[in-house]
Amino acid sequence: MHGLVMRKIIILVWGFLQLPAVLAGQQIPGIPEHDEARVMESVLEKDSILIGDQVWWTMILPENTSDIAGIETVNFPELPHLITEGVEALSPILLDSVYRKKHLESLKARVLLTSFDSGSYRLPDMPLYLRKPDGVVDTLWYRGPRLYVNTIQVDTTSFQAFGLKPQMRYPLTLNEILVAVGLLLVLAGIIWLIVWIIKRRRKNLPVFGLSRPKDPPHIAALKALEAIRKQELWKKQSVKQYYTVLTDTVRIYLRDRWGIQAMEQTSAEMIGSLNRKADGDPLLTDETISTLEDMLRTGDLAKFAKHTPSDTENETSLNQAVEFVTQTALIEEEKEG
Amino acid sequence: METVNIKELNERIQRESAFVDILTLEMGKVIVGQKQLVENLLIGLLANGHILLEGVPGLAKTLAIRTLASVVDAKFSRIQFTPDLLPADLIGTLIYSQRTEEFQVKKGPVFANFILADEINRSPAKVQSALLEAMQERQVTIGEHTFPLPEPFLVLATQNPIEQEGTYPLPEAQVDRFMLKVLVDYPAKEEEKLIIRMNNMEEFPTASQVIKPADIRKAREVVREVYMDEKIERYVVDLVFATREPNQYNLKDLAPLISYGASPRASISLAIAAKAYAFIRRRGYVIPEDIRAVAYEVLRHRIGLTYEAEAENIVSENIITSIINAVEVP
Repeated sequence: MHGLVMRKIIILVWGFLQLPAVLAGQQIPGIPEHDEARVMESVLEKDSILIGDQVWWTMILPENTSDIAGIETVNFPELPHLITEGVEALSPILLDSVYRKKHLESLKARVLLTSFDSGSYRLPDMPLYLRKPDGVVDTLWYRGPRLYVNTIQVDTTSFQAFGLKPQMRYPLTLNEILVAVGLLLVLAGIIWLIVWIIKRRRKNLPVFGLSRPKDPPHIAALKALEAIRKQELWKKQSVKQYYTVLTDTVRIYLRDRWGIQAMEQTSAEMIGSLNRKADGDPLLTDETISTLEDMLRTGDLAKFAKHTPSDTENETSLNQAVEFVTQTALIEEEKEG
Repeated sequence: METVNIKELNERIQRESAFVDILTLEMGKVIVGQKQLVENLLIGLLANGHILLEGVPGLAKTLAIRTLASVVDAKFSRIQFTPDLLPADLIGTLIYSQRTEEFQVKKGPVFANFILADEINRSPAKVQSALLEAMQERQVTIGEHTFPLPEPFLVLATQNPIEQEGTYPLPEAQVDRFMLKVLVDYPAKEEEKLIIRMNNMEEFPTASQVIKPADIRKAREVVREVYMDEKIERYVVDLVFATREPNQYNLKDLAPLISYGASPRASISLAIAAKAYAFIRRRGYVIPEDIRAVAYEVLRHRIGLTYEAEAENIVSENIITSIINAVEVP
C-alpha cells in the first residue's frame, strides 16, 4: 500500500516536471514532432516589442557544425502568414547560404515578424531540412524563442482627445518650381508655334522649309497653262472643267499682272478693265485683247451653255491664252553692275 | 439627267424674242430715255414678277406702264392709293341689286392686266395687303366666289422717296413679294430737251400694239426654258448667302451693317429675272453678266440695314456692290 502511494507520488512529480515541456511544445501546423537532441537555438532581434513593431527572427547554422558537412541543399518549410496565434510573418524565410564546391558551408535564415495583440508568445520550433548527396534528408530544429508584445499604456486621467490633423503643407521645392516653369515655357512655346503657323498660312507661306521666291505672273501663268496642256482635260470629257481651269489661270494672271479683280469679274468686265488699262500699257494692243476676248467667249459658251467645242477649238483656246500671256508679259531686265 | 439642246433652244429664243426689239422701239416712241425702266418692265413682264418703282413724281412712271399696256393690247388700271382707300375699292365688292333682288359682284380695278398702284405707301396696311395678296395668289375672293386675275397680270407699285409723312411704309414681308425694285432717276439733259419737244408737238406720239397677251404667255414659257448652268445657280446662291453670312465671303465689314439678308425668294427671283434678261439679250443660256445685270433690282429691297448703316449713310446698293465685288464669278 505504501509502495502504491509512493508510485503515484512519483508519477505526479514526473508529470508536473513534464508540464512546461508539454505547454512549450507548440508546433507549426503540419510539422511532425522532433527529437530534442537535434534542437538549436534561434534568436530574436529584440525579445520585446510594442504593438505593430517589426522584429527579425534569425536562425543560424554555424560553420563548425558537424551536421552541415556534405550537405547539398537546405530548405525550410513554407511558413503560414499567422505563424502562431497573435504573431504574423511579414516576409518569407530569407536564406543567406555559402556553398563551396557544391557543399554548404554556412547558413543564415531570417523572418520578419510583427504582432498586433499584446502578450507573451512562444514562437513555434522551426525545422530545417538538410539534403545530402546520397538523397538522405536530415532534419535540424530551431527552438522558437519567446516574444513579448507590449501595448502603450494610456493615462486615462490626463488623456485628452485631439481632432484629425490637417494635411501637412510642405514647402515648395526648387524641383517642383522648375517643373512648373518648364511646363509654362512649353505651353507658351506651343501657343507661339500655333500663332506662327496661322500667320504663315494666312500669308500663303510654307509652314516648313524656306519660302521660295514667287514666280513672276507670266511665268506662273505659263507653268499653269503648260500643266493644263499636259492634262488634256477636254479629251477626258471634262470640257467644262478644262475651260474653268483655263479661264481661272488667265484671271489670276490679270490679277497679278495688272491688279485687276478678275476673279470677281465677268468676261465682259475683264475686257472692259483691260481696255481701260490699255491706255497706259503699250503691250495691251487691241489685237491682244481681242485674242483674249475670243478665248473667254468660247469659255463662257463651254461653261454656261453646254457648248462642246471641237478639239481644235480647245487647243486654240489654250494657245490664245498662252499668246496673250507671252505678248503681255512684263519682263524685268536684270541691271548689270 | 435633263438634256438640253442649247442650239435648238437658242434658235427658238431668237425666233420668240423677236418682238422684244419691236416692243422696245414702240415704247421708245413715247418714253424718252428711261431705258433701264423699260428694260425692267420687260423683265417683270417676262419673268411674271411685280415691280416696285421708286422715284419722284413726273418721271414717266405712269406713262411707261400705260404705254406697255397699249403695245401689248392689254387692260390697264391706275389706282391712286390714298389714306381713305378701302380694300373693296381695290378688289371689288358685292352690290345688292334691287331689280334682281340679289347680290351682284362688282369687280374692282385690280381686274386688269397691268396695274399701276400709285403711291402704294399712302394707304393703310389692310389695303396694301389686299393688293399684295392678289399679287401673290393671282386670284381674288369676293363674297363666296373666287375670281382668277387675268393673264398677264403685272403690278407696278410706286413709292415717293421724299415725302414720308403720313405714309404707311410697306412691311419687309410685303416688299419681298415684289420681284424687282427699280429706282427711277431724272432724265439726262438731252433727253429732257427731247421731252419738251415731244410735249410741244401738236399730237403726242402714241405706241402701236405689236404683241398680244397670248404672245406674252408663250414668251414666259420660253423664258423658263432658258438654260441655267449649275455654276450659275451656285453663283446666285453665293450672292444671296453673302447677304446673310457676309463673314463667310470675307466681308466682315458688312456684318454689322446688315440686319437681315435676302430670302430664298430672292434666289428664285434672281434666277428667273436673269433668265428673262438673257431672253431679252436673245440668248438661250444665262451667263454671270445676266445675274449681275438684275442683282441690284432683285436684292436692294430684300436687304435690311442696321441703324449703324443708316447712321453712316450706307444704302443697300453699297452692300450689293461690295458683295458683287467679293463673290467669285464662275
